[in-house]
Amino acid sequence: MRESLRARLLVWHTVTTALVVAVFGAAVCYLAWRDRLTDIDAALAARAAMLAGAVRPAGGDRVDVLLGPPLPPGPYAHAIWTADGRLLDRAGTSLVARPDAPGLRTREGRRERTVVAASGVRIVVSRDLAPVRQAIWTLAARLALVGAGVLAISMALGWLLAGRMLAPLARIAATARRMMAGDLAARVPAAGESTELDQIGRALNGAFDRLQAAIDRQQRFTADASHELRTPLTALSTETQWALARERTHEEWRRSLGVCARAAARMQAVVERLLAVARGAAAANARVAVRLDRLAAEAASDLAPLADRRGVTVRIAAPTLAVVGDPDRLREALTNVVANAIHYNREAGDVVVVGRRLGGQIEVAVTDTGGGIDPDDLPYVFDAFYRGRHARRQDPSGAGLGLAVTRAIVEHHGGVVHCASRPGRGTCVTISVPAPG
Amino acid sequence: MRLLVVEDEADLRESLARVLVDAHFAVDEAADGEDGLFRALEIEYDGIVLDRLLPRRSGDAVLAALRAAGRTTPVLLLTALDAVEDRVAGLDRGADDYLTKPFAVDELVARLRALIRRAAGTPTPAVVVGDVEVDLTRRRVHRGGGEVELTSREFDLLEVLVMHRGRVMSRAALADHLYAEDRDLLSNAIDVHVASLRRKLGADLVQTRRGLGYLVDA
Repeated sequence: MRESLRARLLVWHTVTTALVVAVFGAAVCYLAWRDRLTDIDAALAARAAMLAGAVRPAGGDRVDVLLGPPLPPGPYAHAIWTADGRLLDRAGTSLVARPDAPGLRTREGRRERTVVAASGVRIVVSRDLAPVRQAIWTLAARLALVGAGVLAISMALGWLLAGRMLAPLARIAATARRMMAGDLAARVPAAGESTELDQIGRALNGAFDRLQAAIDRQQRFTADASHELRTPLTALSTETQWALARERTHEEWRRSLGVCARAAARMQAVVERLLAVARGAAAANARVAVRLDRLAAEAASDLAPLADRRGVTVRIAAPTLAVVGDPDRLREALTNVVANAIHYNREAGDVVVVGRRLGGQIEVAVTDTGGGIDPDDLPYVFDAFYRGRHARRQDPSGAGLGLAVTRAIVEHHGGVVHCASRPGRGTCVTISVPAPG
Repeated sequence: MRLLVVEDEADLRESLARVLVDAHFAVDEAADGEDGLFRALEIEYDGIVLDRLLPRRSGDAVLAALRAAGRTTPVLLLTALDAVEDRVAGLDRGADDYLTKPFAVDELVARLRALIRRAAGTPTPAVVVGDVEVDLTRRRVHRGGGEVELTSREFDLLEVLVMHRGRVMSRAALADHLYAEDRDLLSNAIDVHVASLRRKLGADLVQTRRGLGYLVDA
């Protein structure tokens, strides 16, 4: 692809240069020809004037032609006729035809000037143009030679230059091929210039970065999903294999079935949450006016039993916050955040839900007084299945999907979720959606 | 043979323990990486079944700490991550084997037996000592062409002695390999089993080093 582009560039470059050289050469030849012709015309005029000066009317039909010394031989010729057509004088020419009307013309390869002197005497001076033509052709041939040389040099330079200009394209193509082959770390090397191709390179690198991030997240999601599903699946299969290996007591079978039931329930929970993440966007179809402050209050009251069990106090401070969206999904988004704030809080801690309108955005911030999130974990808290060290310790049974569901819902409503945390002090999750209108 | 199972999911951990007890292993359990590492350093286990994703300390970190402490206990990693690079990473960190969840329990048991045999320098499952032939896989003992019936406990003891043959095993060391920590044992239980092994397999098989312990010659 690149080579054909390079060849095409060269063809255009060559055609342009050839055209320029040809036009230039033609112009030079034409101007030279014009120059010579002007000189010749001036010489013819001078000679004609001189000859006309020699013609004197001698009374009646007679004329005297007072010729001076013979003109030096040269390319010039002349002929003098009387008004009634007698040839009076002739030099350097075999011209016998009657002269034409006065003026300049080119005839039979000669430049001719005809003037009328006293008593109707006509004088024709002429010059052979063949040597001039010859000289012009020689000039043209030389110009063509030089032009061909210039063209050759220009082609060579053009080919090299096109190659250099297109080299970044080759690098971009090579990088794209490496990406295609699975090398996600491949990036277009920056030339440090701001040419168009460099801009393309930077844009592609940006796209590659995002692609890699998406693939990384996908891989982490898959790995985590497989762990979350395979662990209960393994418990199920191990337990059934054990139970069926030989005769067991009634009690042992009861216990085995209990293990299986719990494993099934856990797998079901994971699958449901997974589907919730996948649906996150799709299911939020309703677009009605909702009060986010009321949804937050509902979420808090739904979670009151959990808060009581942990001795956590939940407080809400929010003005009327009207948004447009799916109330059920938005309540779920808020519930997940508040549930986390209660769950990962310290005993008898606080959860503060603050709502406010900030410019065109409606914001709900949920702050807890828990152990906070490790800075290493913070960038991933909204990823499905991602669970920080702390979360694993506090609640080994969670699947790590709540915040992923929240993010999916909030993003579907055109909003963003943000998480800030100070280890040992607490965490603040902020949901921000655009205000209607 | 005594194993440690480190798995955070309680049901799975208990299931694994039951399966391994059925396969005549003594099994200790740990619910997180920290506890698992503590036990693994405390007791000379014959093998460790280690989950990779654990709270408090990951399976990889436990493995690294164990190897850094110079322990060569065979470790079988259990994981839900089955990509080739995950398996390679696990083995490269010093695991001896790798099993992806879910698995067939027979395979788990067979792999553990093979790991333990290999670690003891006994790659084949059949061991011959004098006129006694011990089949470690099928748990059978032959002497002079005829099969000898051993109780499960007797076989366990014989297995430990045969695996460590050529080395004197103290009563405490034998107990470490035979009993999980939650089992009370009579102080003379090992002496009783040694006596019945001698009765069934001949007086010369298990020798006594007074004040040190018992020994099966290599």
